Amino acid sequence: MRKLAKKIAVMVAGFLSVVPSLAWAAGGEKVAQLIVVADTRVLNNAFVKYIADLYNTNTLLFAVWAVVLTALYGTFLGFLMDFLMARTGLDLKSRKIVEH
Amino acid sequence: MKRILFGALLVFAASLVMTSVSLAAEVAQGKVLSVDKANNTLTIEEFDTHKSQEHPYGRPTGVTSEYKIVKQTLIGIPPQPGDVIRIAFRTQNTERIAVRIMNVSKQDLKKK
Repeated sequence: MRKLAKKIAVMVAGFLSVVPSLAWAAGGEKVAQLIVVADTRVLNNAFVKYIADLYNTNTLLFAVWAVVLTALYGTFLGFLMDFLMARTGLDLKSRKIVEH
Repeated sequence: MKRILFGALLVFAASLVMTSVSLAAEVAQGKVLSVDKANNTLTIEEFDTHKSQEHPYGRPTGVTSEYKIVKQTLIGIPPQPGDVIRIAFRTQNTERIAVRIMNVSKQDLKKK
């Protein structure tokens, strides 16, 4: 029973992997890649220009910067929310339960 | 320990910046005049950056330039004469090597 289930799973996986090529073989036209080029001619800010230039030339480094900037932005939002919560007077730092 | 971490972070950031500065590419936009598949070259008439209703992709400058297409060049919708394309390119000696080619007129969402 287990062997049969395994065989069926392998067959289903194989079928799913060839579906796109079957669609092309059936007459579907191969779709061209969509490429975007950032227009650095109109950018004046040095950092924005640097990031746009990275997008055009080095996608891997662009992705690294995206990760770094996302982390920095997350940290900034975290500290900002901490600051705002502290200003409201709510104490979320201690785990003391106060019942009224 | 903090100093070492800060130093490592600085070195990492500097290496990111320096790597990409050395790889910087220029960008040109214009109308395709001819595509030479035998020599793998592409000739365009360059447009400037002044867009208007009459010239949504910029005004023609009259300057023609040729770009070499290499194996690594990323090409979107294949450019044909008359299409407006945007090219990111590097200059090697006097030759302009295309890095990425975007078919601006054929993937213009405003048209749809």
